[in-house]
Amino acid sequence: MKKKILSMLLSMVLTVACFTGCGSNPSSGGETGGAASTETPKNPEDMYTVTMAVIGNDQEDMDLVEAEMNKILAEKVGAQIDVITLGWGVYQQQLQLMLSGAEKLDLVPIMYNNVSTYVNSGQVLDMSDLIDQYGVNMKEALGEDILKIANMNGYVYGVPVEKEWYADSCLVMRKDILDKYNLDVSNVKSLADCAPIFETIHENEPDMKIIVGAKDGLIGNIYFADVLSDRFGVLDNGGADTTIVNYYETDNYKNLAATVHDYYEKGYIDKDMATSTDAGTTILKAGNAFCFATPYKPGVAEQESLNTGYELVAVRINPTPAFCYTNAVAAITWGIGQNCENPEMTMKVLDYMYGDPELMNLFNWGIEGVHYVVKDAENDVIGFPDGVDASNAKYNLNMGWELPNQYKIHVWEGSSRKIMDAQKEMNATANKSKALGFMFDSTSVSNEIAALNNVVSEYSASIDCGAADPATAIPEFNEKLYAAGLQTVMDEKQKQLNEWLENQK
Amino acid sequence: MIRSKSNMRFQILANFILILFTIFVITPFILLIMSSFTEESTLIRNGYSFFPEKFSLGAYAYIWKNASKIMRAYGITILVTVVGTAVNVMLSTMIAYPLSLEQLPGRRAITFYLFFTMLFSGGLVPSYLLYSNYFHIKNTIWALIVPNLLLSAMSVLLIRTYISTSIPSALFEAAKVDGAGEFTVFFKLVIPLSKPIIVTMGTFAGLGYWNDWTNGLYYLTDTKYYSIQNLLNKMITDIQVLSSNSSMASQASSEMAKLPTVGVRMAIAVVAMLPIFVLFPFLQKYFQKGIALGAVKG
Repeated sequence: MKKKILSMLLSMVLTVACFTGCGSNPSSGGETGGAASTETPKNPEDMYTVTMAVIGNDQEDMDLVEAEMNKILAEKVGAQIDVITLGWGVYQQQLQLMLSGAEKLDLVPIMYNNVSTYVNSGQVLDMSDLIDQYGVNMKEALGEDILKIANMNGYVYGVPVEKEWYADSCLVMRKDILDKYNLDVSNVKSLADCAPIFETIHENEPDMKIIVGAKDGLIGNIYFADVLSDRFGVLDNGGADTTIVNYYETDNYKNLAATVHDYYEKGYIDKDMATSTDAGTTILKAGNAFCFATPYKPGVAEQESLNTGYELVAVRINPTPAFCYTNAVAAITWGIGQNCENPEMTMKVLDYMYGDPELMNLFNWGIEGVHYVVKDAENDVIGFPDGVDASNAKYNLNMGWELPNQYKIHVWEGSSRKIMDAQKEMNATANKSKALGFMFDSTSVSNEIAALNNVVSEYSASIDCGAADPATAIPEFNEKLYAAGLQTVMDEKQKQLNEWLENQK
Repeated sequence: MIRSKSNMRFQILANFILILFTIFVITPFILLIMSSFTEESTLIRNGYSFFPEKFSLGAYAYIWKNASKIMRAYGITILVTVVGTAVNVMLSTMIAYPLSLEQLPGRRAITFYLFFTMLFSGGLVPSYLLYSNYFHIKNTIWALIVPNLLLSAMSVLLIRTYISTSIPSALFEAAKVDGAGEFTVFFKLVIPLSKPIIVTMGTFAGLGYWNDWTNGLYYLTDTKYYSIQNLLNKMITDIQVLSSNSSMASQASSEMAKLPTVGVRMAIAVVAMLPIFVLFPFLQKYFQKGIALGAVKG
C-alpha cells in the first residue's frame, strides 16, 4: 500500500515533467521559427522586432499573417513585428502589468480612460519629437491639428487612428414593423417625437419590447456633451460654450429623463433594462424587440442589420448636432511603451502603417485567397472564401477602427466604400468643440472622481431606464454629486480649460 | 439510544435549517443547468427559468463543434490540476514532517517564516515582476502551476500538527532503531499514516487549481495555455467591458456579435463543474476526518 502511493506520486511527478516538457517546447520552437524568418531578409542582424499589443480576439493563423507582414516590413522599413492579442476583458490589467514590468512592449494601444495612469507614471514615452521626425504618413492621414491631439500638458502620449471622431446618436428600428403599421419616421427628430410610433406598436403588439439595451445605455447614448474625459463637468451644445456645466443638471438631460420615465410608465421600455448586460444588438437578434439606442455614424443601420439579421433603419435623435471632441478623437491612440528598446524604429513602423494599405489589409483581414476573397473588385468589397464563416475563420481580426488608417483598406461585405467615405467626410464636416484638443489632468481630484463614480453607479442606471421618477431622483442624485465633490472637480476643470484656451490664442 | 424531547426538537430545527441552506446552495446550480438546456432566443427574451419554454441542445452542440478549443482548455485544466496537486502535496508534506520533529534546530524560526506569508504578501505587481522577469514563467504552462497555488503555508501547518499529534514519535524512534533512514521513515511511515490529512489538503489544492483563473489572467497573453476557467472568465469579462464602455459603443456591438451566446457560456460552466461534482463524494470522507484531526487538536 505504502509503495503504491509512493510510486503513484512519483509517476505523477514524472508524467508532469514529461508533459510540461512537451508543453514548453512549442513556444521555444515558435521563437526560433520567428528568428528564422528574420534571417531570410538580406541583413537579418539589423532587424529590430517591434512588439505590438492589439486589443481583440486571438487569431489562429496569426503566425502566418505575421510572416507575411514581416516580408513587407523587412523590405520597406527594415524591421519585424510581433503581434500580441489581448482580450477585451483582460487588456487593461495585462497592459498595466506589462508596462510596470521590464517587459518588452513597443506599440501600446491606449484607451482614453487609462491615459492619466500611463502618463503620470511615465509608462509611455513622449512621442512629440519622434512624430516631428518620422511622422510623415500619419501627418498626411490625420492632418496637422489632430496629429498631436493626444497630449497631456504637452506630453504627447499617442497618435490617434482614423475612426469616427464625432458623437451623434440614433435609434435603430426594425423596418418590418415600421412597414407593417405604416409608420413614418421622417419627422422624428427627438426621442419625444417617437411617442406615436411606440404607441401604435404597443397597442398592436402588446408583448413586444419596444426599447431594449444594456443598463446605462439609453440617455448616455442619446445625449452627448463634450464630456472632457469623465462627464463630471461638461461643455453643453457640443462644446460651443466654454463654461463648464453639470451634465446631470442640463435641460437636455432632464427632458430626456422625463421622456424616458414617461415611456417606462407606459411600458415601452424593457423592464429588465436596469440590470441587463446584453447589448441592444443581442436582444434584438433574439426577436420580439423593436429598437435600441446607439451612437450614429453613416452605415450604422447596415452594420446592425448584419449583426441582428433584421433590416433596420437608423433614426437620428441627438438633441445637439454631431460634433467632434477630444474623447472621440483620442478614444484610442497608439503609444510607445517605456521599455521600448528602439523608439525610432518603432515609430517608423507605426508611421508606415498609416501609409501602406497592403500591410494593413494583411493585419486586419489576413491573407488574400486564404482568409478573404475579393467579392466586388470595383467597390473594393471583400468577404469570406467559400466554406468559411465567422465561426470557423482562422484569421479575421476585423479591428479596423483600432488600427491606423482603416479608411484605406478593403471594405467587408455589408459595408461599402460609400459608407466609409461618408464617415470620413463627417470627420471633416462635424462641428468642432471649442475644447477639441484639451485634455483634463485629473490627478489632483482623483479622490473626488472615485467618490463621484460611486454616486453615478448608484443612481444612473435607474434614471437611465426610466424606473426612477426624475422629479425626485434627479435632485437627489445631484445633491449627492455635489456632496461628493462635483463642484471641486468642475472648478479644477474650468481652471485648466481656461489656461488651455488662453494658450491656444 | 434515548432521545430527550429537547434533543428531538433540536434535531428537527437543525435539519430544517440545513435543508434550507442546501436549497439555497443547490438552486443556482439547477438554474444554471436548466439555462444551458434552454433555447437561445427564449433565454434572452424570457430570462433564466427553471421551466424553460423551449428546450434545446444547441449550446452543447456548439461546444462539440468547437471542441478543439474547449477540449484543449479542459485538458490543460486537468493537467495543471493533477501536476499542481501532486507537487503541492509532496512539497507540503516534506516541509511539514521535519517541522513536526522536536529536535529540528530553528524550528520556531522556520515555522514563523512560513506563518508570516499567511499574513503578508508581496502584492500583485512585485509578484508579477518576480515571476515574469526572473522566473520567466510568462506564457508557459508553469504560469498556471507555480504562482500562489504551489505551496500554502496553511496546509503545511495543518499537516505538521497532524503528524506531531497523531503519529507517536516513538514509532519513528523504533523505525530508526531497526535501521531506517530519514527517507525511509518519511516515505514508509509518515506518508501512509497521514493519508487523511494529505488527501484533505490535496483536495483543497486540487479545487484551488481547478477553479483558478487569476494566474491565467496575469501571466498568459497567449491563449494557447488557457484553462477552462480562463476561457469562461475571458468570455464574461469581454462582455462586461464591451457593454459598459460607452466610448466604444458603436464598435462594441459588432464585437459582441462575435462572442458566444448566453446558453453557450452556461453550458461551458456546466462542463467545467462536472468533474468536481463527480469526484467530491468520494473525497468527502477524508475531508471531514482530516479537518477534524488536523485543526482541532492543534
